[in-house]
Amino acid sequence: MENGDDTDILRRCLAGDEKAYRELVQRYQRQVYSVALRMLRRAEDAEDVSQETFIRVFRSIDRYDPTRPFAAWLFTITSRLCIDHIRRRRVRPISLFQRDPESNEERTIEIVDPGLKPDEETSRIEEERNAQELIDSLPPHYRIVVMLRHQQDLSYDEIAEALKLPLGTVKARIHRARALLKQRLEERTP
Amino acid sequence: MNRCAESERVQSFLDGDLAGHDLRAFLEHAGGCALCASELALYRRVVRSLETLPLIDPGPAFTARVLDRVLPSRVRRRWLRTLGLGYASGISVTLAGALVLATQPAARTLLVTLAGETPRRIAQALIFLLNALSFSVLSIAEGGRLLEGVGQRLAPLARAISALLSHTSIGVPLSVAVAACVVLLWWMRPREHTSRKEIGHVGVLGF
Repeated sequence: MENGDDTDILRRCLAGDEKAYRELVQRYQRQVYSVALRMLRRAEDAEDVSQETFIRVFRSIDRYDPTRPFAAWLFTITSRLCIDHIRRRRVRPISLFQRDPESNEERTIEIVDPGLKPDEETSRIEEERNAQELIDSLPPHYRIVVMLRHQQDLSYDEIAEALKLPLGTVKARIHRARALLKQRLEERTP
Repeated sequence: MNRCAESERVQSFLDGDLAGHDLRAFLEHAGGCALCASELALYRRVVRSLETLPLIDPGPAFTARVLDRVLPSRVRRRWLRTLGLGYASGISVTLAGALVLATQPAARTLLVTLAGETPRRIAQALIFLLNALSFSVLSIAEGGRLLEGVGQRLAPLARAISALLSHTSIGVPLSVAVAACVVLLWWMRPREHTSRKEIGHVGVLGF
């Protein structure tokens, strides 16, 4: 996420360049969708929230302050929409790993990386499943900070700006979330 | 599980918040403290797990779905398509209705009656409107002498126009001409030219 390139795309968006709109969506759709899916756990809800995020970005792009990181602004919108969605619908904790009612087997809806060998693939899926279960076990206000820090690689300052929280609160939440995750990891480890 | 007091600093170390003397002291301690070393290893596993989560692609059609909702050209095209379809459907229904009506003798008689009656009704409505307006002006003017004077001067004009409009042959074409003028003036109104540097129109068109 280079801010320099973002500035150029945003400038072209402001000038009405439709190609720039496409570039901006394509550049950030995976990040936005991943956060939304891991927060909401339902593909349809994640799709809705992701679409709404970009629509709000384009609707208010003329109010964006280019001196601030675009990603922080984008995730401000994404996280607010996710949290609103959770509050509104009281999302049920459905895992990304779904159980097939007929065979009673768990299936993942994660995409498969074709570059890995079968045993590596199995191990990767297992790691992802564990990580996802850990993330799922967190309350939403911890989950969002952890996602922004460790998946989107935002700095503490950027997260504080995105979530409109004091820096100290962000740090405390991340530390608390990681402590909870560590505790759960300890419980699982034989 | 037993904990070492220094383990409080593990997360600060992972965040890169420790520097200088604090960093050296922590590393020295962690090298010899099994509890802190284990704590550090667990936190590293947590961070690694979180970082193994891949980004998920919403699918190839996602971009198109978003752009369909935000691009002014696509929104306009969608509105035009809807408008065109509505217009075509309206014409088809009207034509079908007219054909059905034309085949009915009773309907033909009704149409002839309506054709004769409508202009007279329109003229009557206009006269009523004009009278009501004159009456309102005069009523308001009663509060002030100046307005009263103006009203009295305009009253004969209003009566003359009313008398003129009561003739169907004059009233209907005049009403049509007035309506056409209003439509023309509305169409010629000054339009606000939005700068291309702003995309506020997305909100107007799309939402």
